[in-house]
Amino acid sequence: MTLAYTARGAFWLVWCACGRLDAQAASAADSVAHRSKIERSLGVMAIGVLTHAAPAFDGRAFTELQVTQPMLSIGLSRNRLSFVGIANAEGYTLRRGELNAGIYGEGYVDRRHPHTLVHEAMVTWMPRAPRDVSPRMSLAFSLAAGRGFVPFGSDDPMMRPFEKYPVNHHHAQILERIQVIASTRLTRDARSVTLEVSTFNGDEPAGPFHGPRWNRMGDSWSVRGTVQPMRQLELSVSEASVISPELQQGGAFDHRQTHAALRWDGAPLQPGHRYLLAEWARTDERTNGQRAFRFHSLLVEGGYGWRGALAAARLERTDRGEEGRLADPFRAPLGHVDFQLLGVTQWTVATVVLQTPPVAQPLSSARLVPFLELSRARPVSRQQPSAFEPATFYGASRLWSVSLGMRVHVGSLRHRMGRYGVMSLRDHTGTQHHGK
Amino acid sequence: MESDTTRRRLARTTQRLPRARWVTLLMAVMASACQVSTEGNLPIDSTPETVGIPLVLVSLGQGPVSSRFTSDVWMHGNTAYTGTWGNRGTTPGNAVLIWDVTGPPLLVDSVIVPLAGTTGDVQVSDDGQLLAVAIEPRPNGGLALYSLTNPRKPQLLTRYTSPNVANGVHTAEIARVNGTLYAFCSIDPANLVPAKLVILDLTDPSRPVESAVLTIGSPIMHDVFVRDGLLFTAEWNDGLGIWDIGAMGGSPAQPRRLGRVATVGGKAHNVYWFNDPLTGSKRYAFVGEEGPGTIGLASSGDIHVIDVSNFAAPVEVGRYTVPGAGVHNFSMDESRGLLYAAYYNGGLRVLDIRGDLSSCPASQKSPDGRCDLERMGRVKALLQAEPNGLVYVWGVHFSGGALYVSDMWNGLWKFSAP
Repeated sequence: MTLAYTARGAFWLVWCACGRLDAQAASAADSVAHRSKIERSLGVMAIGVLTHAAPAFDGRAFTELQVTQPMLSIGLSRNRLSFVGIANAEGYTLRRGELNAGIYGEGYVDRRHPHTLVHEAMVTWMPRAPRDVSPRMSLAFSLAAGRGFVPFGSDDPMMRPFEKYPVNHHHAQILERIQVIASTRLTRDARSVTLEVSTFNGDEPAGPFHGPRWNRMGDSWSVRGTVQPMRQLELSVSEASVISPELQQGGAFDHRQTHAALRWDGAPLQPGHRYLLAEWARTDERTNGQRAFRFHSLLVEGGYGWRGALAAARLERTDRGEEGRLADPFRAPLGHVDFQLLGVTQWTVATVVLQTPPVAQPLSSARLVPFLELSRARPVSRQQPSAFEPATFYGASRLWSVSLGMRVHVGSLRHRMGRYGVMSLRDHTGTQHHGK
Repeated sequence: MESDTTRRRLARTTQRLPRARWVTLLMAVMASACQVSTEGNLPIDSTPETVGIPLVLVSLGQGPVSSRFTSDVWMHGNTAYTGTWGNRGTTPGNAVLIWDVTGPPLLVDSVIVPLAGTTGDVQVSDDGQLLAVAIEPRPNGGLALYSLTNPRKPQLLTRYTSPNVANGVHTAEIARVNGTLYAFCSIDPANLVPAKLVILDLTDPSRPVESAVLTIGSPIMHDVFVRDGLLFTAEWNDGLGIWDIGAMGGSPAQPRRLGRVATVGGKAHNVYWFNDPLTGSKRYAFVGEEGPGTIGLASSGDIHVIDVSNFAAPVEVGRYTVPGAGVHNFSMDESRGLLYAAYYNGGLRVLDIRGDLSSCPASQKSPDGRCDLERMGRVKALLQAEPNGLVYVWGVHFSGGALYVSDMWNGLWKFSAP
């Protein structure tokens, strides 16, 4: 409760500061504004992937060809306003979900759920350019509103080197929410400290074409603090309170989420590019303010790029609460009917990906990039006895997945998603995806 | 390594499926000290004569089930019916098992319910002619009705489904209101689809007709109890609801809400309205709370005692708590004023509920001022697993002087009633 008040207090503090600063700078900025031009960016991407999962369920191997992450990205900015939007067509190409051992969320289990058509539509307002506090120090503020990534956790897996998602997606990211974000960043030379505070609707999307529950806007909050002691290194800590994410009408478990990460990102697309992410996440499921279940996740991933090629590896260990399944064994009821779990499975997943340099550039701004991804998952019941025994359910104690695919990129895509306002000052470069 | 060791130990435990697994524990109910008090108000009803008498529960046998998780149990004469729940491994809970319980439970037949993943709730009508089976999950939810012309060979009359019940019938109670048989089906919620109570007219059981659809429960509408034209609804975080469906001008087609009380902690799961044939008292309803748990391993939730003297303004007056375990379904021996409560990993509890449960001295109250049945010495007996045993008791049914106990891990148990 104290943290909730602190978060809301910080939000209003940043909001008011933005207003004051903007008032001071309004006349000067306005004189520049109407002379500015609109900056535009447009990008399209998609991945065609053939996945062989053995076993996927009940000792049976599945092989599926799917189109994942088909997206259209738009960026517009003029003066103090900017807009970023992503239309995601997985609702058309991925209705049954993507084979992805261990993943869960939005009613899918062991298949990644499709994202919503309006994946992101955020308007950002920066009162003015960063204000100089001293010759070497500047302060910036921003407000952002719309549907998008909540300032919590790490970058969306779509922006990372792997095609398959980590199990901890719903521990380490909160996305596709209607929200307002207030952010401030203090920069000194190449170092910076950023604070983001957000209020949003707790409910997860009910499906790829469903909108949010508007009357729940503001029932949840998050805070993320990010420190960059040097340009390539980023340390972040996040906290979020998410009300009944799994049942739109409310009443299911509330989530209290905590996340900490260390991220190293050498200059993207440069020879010898190195990338590293280490993150820890914890999700408490609560009812009436009391903790019912606690889940942990630990993930380390890194990549090395050379002349457009990339090799990356990921190792994660993540807890997953097991629920009963529907008639489709890859689907689960939302919201834990009866508030019971079948057990908790600890997923240890190792993944490697190899990606060649672009094999063809049919258009000047297009790239075709083949990749091969291999993962091995080992699910183990964390409690004994367990009503859900992974080895029995899957028909094996180790689950393998091989994916062969091709990424298609056309135009300009952001280097990182979910970074708005002051957080995009360095990153909104119009460069292509990280390592993709 | 640790989990491997544990698994081996459990495997051994399961193999020696224990006639003697159930330890019959005598609760030396601390009678006198708890009952005799000059503090506070005098009890309204007389002090129960059973308090303080040691009770013994003796195992009369077990019918093991290891292929599926066992759910509810219902008795009809010398035949017991048990449902099944969820997936055990990859085997779905799509069966209803039929037992001869003349002696130790003996499996004699089963019914497979196509496309069912859970047959969580089973019940036989008061005339013994009809077996109702609740079916989950979505999109195949519904209610199966079987003729019990031959109780050991149920014949399907109909499998009722409609858009209103397709999300899954979590529980189904069949009860007679002014001579007509109805099914009260609690329907699972889904994203954007609220929980519902669907009342079916079973005048012609092969053609059920929807009489009413109530959108109630937050977020779950879980179970009901019907008696004398009154409907008691366990509405989860909205607590206990009381409706007139025939007692005072209402009807199953047009239920009229009389009152509601939010139980402490919410999660109102099931309810039983006790009519004491000895004293005529109809003062108390007992609400089971189902808190968070891990199937087969851990559970939580209290029994809440609700004074329903005034249907328009029910009041919670008491509770019963078992540390480390949570309550599930109830059965009653009304003639003796005994409440049998399934307690999942806690086994079974037998509570004396006759007399005044709303007045007690301070020493018998919980910190929030409710009377605490444990401190009042109302626990008559308990059953629990032996130290390395494994039980997860879903339901209990008192019938013919015996207790029939359904255990998710192990199947069906039979005990002599105290």
